[in-house]
Amino acid sequence: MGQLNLPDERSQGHREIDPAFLVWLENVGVVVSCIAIVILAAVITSSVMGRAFFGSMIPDDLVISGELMVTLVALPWAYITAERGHISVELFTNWVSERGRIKLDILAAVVGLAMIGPLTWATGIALWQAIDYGSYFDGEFYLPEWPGRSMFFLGFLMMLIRLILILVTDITRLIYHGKIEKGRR
Amino acid sequence: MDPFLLGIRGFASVVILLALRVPIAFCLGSVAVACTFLFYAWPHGGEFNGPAGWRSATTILTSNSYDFVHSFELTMVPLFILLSQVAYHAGITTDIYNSARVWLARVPGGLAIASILGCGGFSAITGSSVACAAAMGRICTPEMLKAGYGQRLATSSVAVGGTLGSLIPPSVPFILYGIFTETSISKLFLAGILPGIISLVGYIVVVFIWVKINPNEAPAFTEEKRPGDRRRAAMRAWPAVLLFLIIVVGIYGGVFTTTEAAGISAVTAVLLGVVLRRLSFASFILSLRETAYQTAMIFMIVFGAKIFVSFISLTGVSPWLIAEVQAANASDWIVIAILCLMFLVLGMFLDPIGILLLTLPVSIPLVENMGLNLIWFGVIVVKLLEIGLITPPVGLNAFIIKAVGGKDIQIHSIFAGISRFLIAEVVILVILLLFPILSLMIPNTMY
Repeated sequence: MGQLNLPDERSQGHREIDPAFLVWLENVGVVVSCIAIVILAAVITSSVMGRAFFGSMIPDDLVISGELMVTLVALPWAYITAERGHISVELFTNWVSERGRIKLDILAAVVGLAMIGPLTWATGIALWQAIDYGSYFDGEFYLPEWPGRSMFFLGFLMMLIRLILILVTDITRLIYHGKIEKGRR
Repeated sequence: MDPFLLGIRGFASVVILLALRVPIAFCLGSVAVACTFLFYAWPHGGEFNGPAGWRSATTILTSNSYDFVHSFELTMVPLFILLSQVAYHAGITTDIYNSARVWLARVPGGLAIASILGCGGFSAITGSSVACAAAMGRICTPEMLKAGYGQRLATSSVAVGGTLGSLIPPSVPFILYGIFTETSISKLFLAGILPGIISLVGYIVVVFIWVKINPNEAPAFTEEKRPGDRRRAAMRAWPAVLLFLIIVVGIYGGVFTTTEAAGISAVTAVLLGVVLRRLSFASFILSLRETAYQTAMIFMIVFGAKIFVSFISLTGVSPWLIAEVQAANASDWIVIAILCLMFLVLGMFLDPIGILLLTLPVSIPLVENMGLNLIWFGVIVVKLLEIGLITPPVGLNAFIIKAVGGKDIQIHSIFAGISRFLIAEVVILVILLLFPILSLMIPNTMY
């Protein structure tokens, strides 16, 4: 069944292709996501308190919340991918040999790339258009669209790079008969 | 290419990829991307035009998904996860259990009943059955085994109690159901309360009967008690009660929206943890990291499901299904029974969120067309997903109890114990199906 990502039960081992800069970037992505969660909770609570006690809410709180939501959701994707933490159904493939499992890992990476590749391209185009047209949200401050779209694009881009590295690693594992472990220490 | 055929092939591809251990999000997302491309690039009866298909598909998929994630309403998901993480690390989630075990010490099977009540209390703060089973399994099962309880009772009571996590608000499956079906999440939360309590009582009755028939399964618990222990135990549970009241009373009374309730309760949990000195800075950071991780993981699936639903809406599969059901002249009850069976079977193999998001594109149009209440159906769906968590061969909660319980716990003992509770589950499900008022009573009286 699906992998359970309890804090102490994540994958162990080492990965051959694991560039330090990407690892750092993925960790930064999680940290930024954590900060976005704190700000989000603060914005919503302040808005409710402001409405209850001062009769006014934080201006553009809905837009700010949406921007934070995009940030906190997209940035950890690469980290989760690196941990191979996406939920999958393992019941039907438990009987498969080690070599067969590596082939299934390759299939998963290819299918993931078929999804993430086009979407990275498209979110990049959408970001470029948002900057080029100077798109903004209706509201009190006319907040620009590009920050949220940048985070969305960045989340996809990092995940795309990580998926490519995973694919290369898995192909290497297949060639070297599974002697290279998968997962992050 | 015929859109209908494309839709059917899309569904089939998802099922095959799922069986081949491809992550659920990738299955849904890649099939949606490929099929939406084909839909636009190869219109029915027309010439193949790759560039046009690429432009249309990527534009639609990206704008759909970005607008979907850029949502104020969806912020309740990370905030409720944060609430559960903080409450867990501050020990607030287990207060109800600690209180119940003191009060029920002398009752036959008291520890098992306290575990189920503790799961109910845990569920009132968290929205995840799996988290509930994992956390309570670490505490309750070893304690019951130490007290001489049989392995079947000690493990299955927690596995089953854990399923309350999604039924009693707050609940992540209810949030996702509400967003995908465009029904009120507040009403869904309130609709889950009574069925949650009925389930809880049902489990307690099973324990009671089980222990009556076989007293050796739960020997009398002999822990020395001091005067005032009960009062102190009850008093210690107030933070959990306060958080639940903030959510339920706030929503029911119209004081704030569900999203605002999520924010307020998460901040309150942090403040309680700090003021009561039960939440360290390290635990707070760990809570945040887990929240970020779980939210991103859930949203990857939600994201894949969203673009898959967008693709299915292009194909005409749902109207075809409705027409077929109408042509077959099948009664509403037969359709509901088939849907229930589908959810139960899928529940044996798939993750609850995956099932929910995979089946809604076909099940909801059917239910809507029959004129049935979507709030009531939401409760039924979540109940079925919960039953799926304890049914073999996958029964995720059973495997979690096995994982946290250690090597001495046998998986067949857990499933043997669960089989007794499954009878109660079927009875409760039938009651909820026959009496929709049980689900709709509270939301119907909402402000």
